[in-house]
Amino acid sequence: MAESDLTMARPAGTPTTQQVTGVVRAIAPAVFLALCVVAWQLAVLLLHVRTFVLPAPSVIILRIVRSWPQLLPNTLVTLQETLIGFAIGSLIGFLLALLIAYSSLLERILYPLIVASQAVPKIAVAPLFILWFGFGIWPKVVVTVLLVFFPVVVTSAEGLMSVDPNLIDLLRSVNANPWQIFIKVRLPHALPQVLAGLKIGIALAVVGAVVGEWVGADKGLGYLILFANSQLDTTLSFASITLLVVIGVVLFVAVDAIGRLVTPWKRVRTLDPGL
Amino acid sequence: MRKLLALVLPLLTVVVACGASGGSPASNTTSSSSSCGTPVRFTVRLNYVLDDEQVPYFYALDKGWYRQACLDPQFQASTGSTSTVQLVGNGSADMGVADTVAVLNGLAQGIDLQAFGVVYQHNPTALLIRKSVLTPEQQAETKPSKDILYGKTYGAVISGSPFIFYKAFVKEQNLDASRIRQVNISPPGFTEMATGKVDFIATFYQVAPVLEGLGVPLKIFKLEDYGQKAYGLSYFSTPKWIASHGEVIKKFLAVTKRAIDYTNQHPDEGVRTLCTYNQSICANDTSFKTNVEEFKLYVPLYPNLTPSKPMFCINSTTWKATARLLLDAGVVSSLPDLSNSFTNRFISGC
Repeated sequence: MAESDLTMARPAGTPTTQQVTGVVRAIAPAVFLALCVVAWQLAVLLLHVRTFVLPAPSVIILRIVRSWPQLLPNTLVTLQETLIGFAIGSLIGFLLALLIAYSSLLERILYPLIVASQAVPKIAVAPLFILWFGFGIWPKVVVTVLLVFFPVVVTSAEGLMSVDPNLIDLLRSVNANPWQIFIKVRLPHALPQVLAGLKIGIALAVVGAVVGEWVGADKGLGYLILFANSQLDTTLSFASITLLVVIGVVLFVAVDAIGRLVTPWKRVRTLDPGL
Repeated sequence: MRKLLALVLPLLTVVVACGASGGSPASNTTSSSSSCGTPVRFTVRLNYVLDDEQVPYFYALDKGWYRQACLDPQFQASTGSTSTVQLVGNGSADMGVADTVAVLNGLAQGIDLQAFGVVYQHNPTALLIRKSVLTPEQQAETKPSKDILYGKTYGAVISGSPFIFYKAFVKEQNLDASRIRQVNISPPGFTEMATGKVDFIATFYQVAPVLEGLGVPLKIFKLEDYGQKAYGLSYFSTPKWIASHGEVIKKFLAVTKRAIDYTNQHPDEGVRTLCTYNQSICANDTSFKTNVEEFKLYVPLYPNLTPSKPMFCINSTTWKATARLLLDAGVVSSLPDLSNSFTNRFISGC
């Protein structure tokens, strides 16, 4: 049978396999999330779990709606700390990556210190930042920067150093200067890795803002979680956590979208072509 | 000779047998322990880390007084009264020691709890203010005007019960909270006070010697002096556990009272016993003396508000006044049902 015969056999309006696959891929995450939420709701109901131990999703959503005037300003505070910390952390991370990529001596000096900085628990040093920087936004930003810069510096340095040396030699052979080599070859080559680091960094930026707020804040979702726990208000705690998750996901998607725009030549392919 | 041996040998056997079983008081303890069977094991979640507040428990534990009463309490430290309430409420601990406001807040949040004794009959909360932020006249006043807090920075440990006491105090005294800067700090707040990052904190006034030992001269506002009558720590558990462990509770209270009475009279001995469990208390001579000074400040908290009533008795008026703090502090919008929130049935003479 010819393909045209097969095509003519499909009734008009019937979706193609590709279309069906596309719809499934689009709604699968939402369906899975919905199933998890339903399972959680049923578990709380059927096992008679008390609210102060684990509130049901419906209770949390109602609380978000009811306490929105309290939650919104605190959300904006945490968002501000996250974005400022992310911006500064990313810049510092990328600059350090440049130094490491262009100097093997600096690589040997800086890398151990950078790795060591990650072994220091941020919750332990956060009170010290209060002593050094006071009670404003900066201690929270510093904690965020400490969490963000590490994935950015590691992935960016790897990206910058992994350029094919033959390409560099080729550009040198046509008298390209270091800046041209950087702009034409190193940076475009490293961009996917830089963006990978930024995606990890933005998720960690939310964590950093929360950790910073646990000491020395009187606003923010991290502060609200601490306050809610002290009042045995687990529902408010979960409401705050839910908003933190939303912030983290939205920012991650935003960074990913920006990444796709600036690297149109790079597409992530799954190992399974069917789905 | 044979007749002599026939007389002496049985006697010798009896003497040896007595020696093996022992004639000392320790053996009496052993035989009395074996007569009560296996001591009842239960967990007691304390309100905080092992410090001077816990001296009586560990003194009684160390001297075997609980064991003599056929009890085997397992004392566990905590990160705060709220955590203790949660752990007892969800069954992770059998009974707890926690700030009464935390217990009442737990009830307001739907946790099934009941108190069976109040340890601190008086409000232990005070505002500790650095003298350096006060004028000489303010420093000299015996009961400073409360609006000296205006323009000062309050270091709030929001995870602690003193925060609730402070918020209620602001409301009760009609203070303008917007004129007092509040910043969140980690417990206990000593570093922030010592470095001048905050001007005052709300905490138990018993810790004042520790702060002053760090070189921070203090002015102490006891909230009780400003009319804030409230209970401090309480013993509590779930009604289900209480119903099935009445004898355990009676004995626990009796032994603990004995330990409190003894260590109040012998503070050095009491604090030194705690060193076995928390070596930082006896890290050096200064540390030990500071801890003894701190411990002595807990002594006035124990006697009942009603002098004729025994230790631990709960008075419903003061209980309700303590619950009202939750309303004044804005922690709850309405009071929980207090009808079965406490019982005095394990304390005779209440």
